[in-house]
Amino acid sequence: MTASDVQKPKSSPVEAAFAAPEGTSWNRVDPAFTWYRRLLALMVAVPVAVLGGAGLGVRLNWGAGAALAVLALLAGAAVWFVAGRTRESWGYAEGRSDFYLTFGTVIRQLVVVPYGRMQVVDVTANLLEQSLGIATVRVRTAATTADARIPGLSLQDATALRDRLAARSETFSTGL
Amino acid sequence: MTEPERGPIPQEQQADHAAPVGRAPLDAHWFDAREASDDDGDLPDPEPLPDPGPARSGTAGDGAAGTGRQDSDGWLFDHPERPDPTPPLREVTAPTDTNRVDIDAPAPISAWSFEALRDAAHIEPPAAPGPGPEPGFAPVAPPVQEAAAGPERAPSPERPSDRGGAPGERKGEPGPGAPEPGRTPFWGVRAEAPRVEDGRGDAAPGAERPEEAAARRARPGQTPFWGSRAEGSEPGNPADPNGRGPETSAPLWSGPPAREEPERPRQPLWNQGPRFAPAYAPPTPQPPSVTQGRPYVPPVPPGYAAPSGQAASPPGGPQGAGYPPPVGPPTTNVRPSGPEHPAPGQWAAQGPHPGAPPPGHHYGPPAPTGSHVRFAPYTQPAPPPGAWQPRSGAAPLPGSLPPRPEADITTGSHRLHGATVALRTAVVTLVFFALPGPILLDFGIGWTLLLTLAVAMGTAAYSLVAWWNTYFGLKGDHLVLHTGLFRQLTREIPLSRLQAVDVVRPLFMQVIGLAELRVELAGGDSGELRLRYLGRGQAERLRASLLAHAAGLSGRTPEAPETPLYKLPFSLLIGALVFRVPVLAAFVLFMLLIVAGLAFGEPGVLGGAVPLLLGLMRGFLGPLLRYIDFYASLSPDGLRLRYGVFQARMQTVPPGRVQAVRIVEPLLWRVFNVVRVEANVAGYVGERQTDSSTLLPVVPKRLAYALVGELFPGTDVSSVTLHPAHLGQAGQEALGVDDSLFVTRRGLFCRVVEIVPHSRMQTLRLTAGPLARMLGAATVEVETPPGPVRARAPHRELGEARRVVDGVAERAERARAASGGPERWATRSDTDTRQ
Repeated sequence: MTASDVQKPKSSPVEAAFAAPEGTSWNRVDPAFTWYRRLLALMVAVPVAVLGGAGLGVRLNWGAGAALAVLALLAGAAVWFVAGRTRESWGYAEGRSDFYLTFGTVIRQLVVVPYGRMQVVDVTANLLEQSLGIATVRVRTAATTADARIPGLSLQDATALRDRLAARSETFSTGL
Repeated sequence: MTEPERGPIPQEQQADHAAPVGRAPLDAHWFDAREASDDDGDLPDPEPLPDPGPARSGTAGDGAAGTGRQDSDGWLFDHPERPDPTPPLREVTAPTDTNRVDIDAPAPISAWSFEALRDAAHIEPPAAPGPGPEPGFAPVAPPVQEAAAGPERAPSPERPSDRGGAPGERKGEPGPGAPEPGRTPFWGVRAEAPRVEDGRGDAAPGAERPEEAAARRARPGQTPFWGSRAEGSEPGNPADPNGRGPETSAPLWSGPPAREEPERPRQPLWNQGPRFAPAYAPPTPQPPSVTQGRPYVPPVPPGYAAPSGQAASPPGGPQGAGYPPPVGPPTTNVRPSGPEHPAPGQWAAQGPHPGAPPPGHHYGPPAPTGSHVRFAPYTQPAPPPGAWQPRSGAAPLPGSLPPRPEADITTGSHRLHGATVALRTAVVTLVFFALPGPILLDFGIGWTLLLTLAVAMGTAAYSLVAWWNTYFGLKGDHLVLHTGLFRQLTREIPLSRLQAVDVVRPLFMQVIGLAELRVELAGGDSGELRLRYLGRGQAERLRASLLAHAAGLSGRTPEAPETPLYKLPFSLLIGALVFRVPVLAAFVLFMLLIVAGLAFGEPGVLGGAVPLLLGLMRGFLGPLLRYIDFYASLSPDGLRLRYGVFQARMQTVPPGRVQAVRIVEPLLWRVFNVVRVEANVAGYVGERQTDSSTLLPVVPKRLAYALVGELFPGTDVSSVTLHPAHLGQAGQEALGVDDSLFVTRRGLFCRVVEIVPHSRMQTLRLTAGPLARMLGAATVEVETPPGPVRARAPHRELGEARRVVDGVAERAERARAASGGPERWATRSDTDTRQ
């Protein structure tokens, strides 16, 4: 693991509640994920600001268009600046029988996926991810709501993680 | 919400064995609850989950009582100890009128011995030591003799009276021609398998007459071969292969219902117009065959010359291109099992087993040589084909059924019912005539008729070819469906993965005696296989065969017996449907609008009244028509539901397929103490989720919780103590966790209790939004395959929530390791279902 920061012991009950399982620590995702988020924000916010603002300006009035553009840029800037924290919020840990995943800055989540429940483990990388050399590992269970994915892993980490998870899901297999 | 204190209620009377001291078995609660409720006519206090009652002795109760949320983990998982597996017996007091509606003293699923099922399916070689006198002859003769007795058999003298009447009596007085319900008899009549009584305690004599079958369960000393364990097996017998854990070994309603209500139908279904009554309940002499009344005609192995008198034609029915006719004795699904189940090849090769009694003894008159007789019937003339026709008496469609006997659905490949072609042609033609027909009339009636005729012919030709190219069959443990004219598609479905099997019969199909078979798989919306349409008897036999395969048995296993669980009285259904706030409010509003409209002569009220009426129809009339004549029963195959008049449905949810359950209690229903039970089943997704996920539409609360205990064996909802949430609607949102269950409750008005066993948990999720974090709260959610149940416990204290997550994860791992998956539930060792 490239980014396996040791979680500092924090006394906050929130941190305690979202701590890694005993005996492990959160593996953080690749720093390139920060840039992935930033570039993504840029690629969304700028076109929306330009095209949407222009369209709204032509259609309605230029004030509304400018407002839209400013809003879009602000949102993009917000994502840009919290991208670092977003990256830090992602973490995964491989427990003895379960896979732990935490993410979210606003709404914090902790997902526990038993190895035996994993139906599909796959690695995907879109164009932007490929250019940054990272990939996303996605774990599917029979519960459709449980979309457990770990973005921003370096490609080797992603494939290694996928192989480990697949092997363990085989070992612990329990059917549906 | 802590558990209400209760004084020690005297332990239930145990018949023979002392109950484990630490914790009484699951069902004890129910009987206690029932007894308690009988005293004052009240049902158990609904406030927490049904009260665990007296069963919990001090140790377990201490942890639960009085622990608040700020406690340490004391309240979590407060039932660590498991009692030692002693199957307790008890006597049951007679239910009173308050609960006579619902409980008909069924034994739980787990009471059936799967070994017995397995043995019934895998035909024992005649060679096996058969101490019984003429083991082979026995199954043949009795039905023939007993058949004369007909439906109105005199009660056999040895029938004990404490059973409250044997099933034969309790099902009311069938009409003179009324067929035997066939719940048990079929099971008992196994032709080709002279059952070897190998000294097993629960082995039944191969010759099980219908009458005996009726009285079988009553006999205390002699247990049926799938026997209710609590009676049949000695508690401390280590050699008992069916030894079970304590919870399920004692059936919920294990004892005989000491109740003499002869007018009360034991098997209500058949008195109420059988829609799904097993079509193979022969009203007349039962030919002894595992194929349930119809003698199985074995395919001729190459080179085998049938002796005279032996009906040795290959099985009828179109042999599709997919599968060659099986060679040798058709034992489908030979599992690699012990040496007592030889493979068919062995059988074909070795001929009569040394030491086997002379074959003639076994199978009646002219027995052929060789072991082909295994499935060969005695050469009694075949039963009248009428016995196998749907008992609705539907005339076969013209050209649909040649008068040959139905093909054995468990072997070979088959086509859909021939009437499918005619049906499709008729539908397409009618649609064509109705839609563009009026336009075409401008060209003249002749042209219209000509075009219609052309469309009819074209459709008929296409349907015929499509029908010809569609065939299905059981191939080993797989159901193979081959469809397609131009783009051929073959689906091969591992039956161990099937999630549910439904037989659906819309009104018209009921009239013409067809049925649609739906095999639900856990593959999303397309993970469903529909066979439409099959003959009704064929559909139900295929259903039984599919379930047997899924259970890991042979496909020839007869349909498993079932125990009535619940019959929904019409009055209760309609009362419960009316008595809901939305329905009542909509009705009152509707009436007000109508009155106002009439009073003021204002037709504009229709704008409000019509939507209300539509809503009423959807909310009231829909469920009413849908669940009319609702009947639920338990069987080794799982939970069977039959309901509906205009669209008769028969659902079967095998064991272990129910992923989560919720119990919904609308506000006004609390007066009646009735609830609705819904479940997540992986096969029921998309539109079928709303269609099929309701297990019991209206059911007394106590029975609902009892059903949960049946669906999740080894668990005990009643002992889970609910703890209110940290904040929010205190007292409404509550969470309870024990060693096997995750239980949440919510809803101020419409109370919903959601139950997920740890062994079914897919994912755990702990969520805390910004506001919740500020308040120090979080939400715990246990995710299951999609369905109505979403077990969320919001507003838990952060630390507690995390402890719940960790604890559930740990216990779920243990439970998964113990349960080993839901596949092939009949062949797992029984202890596997424990956890």
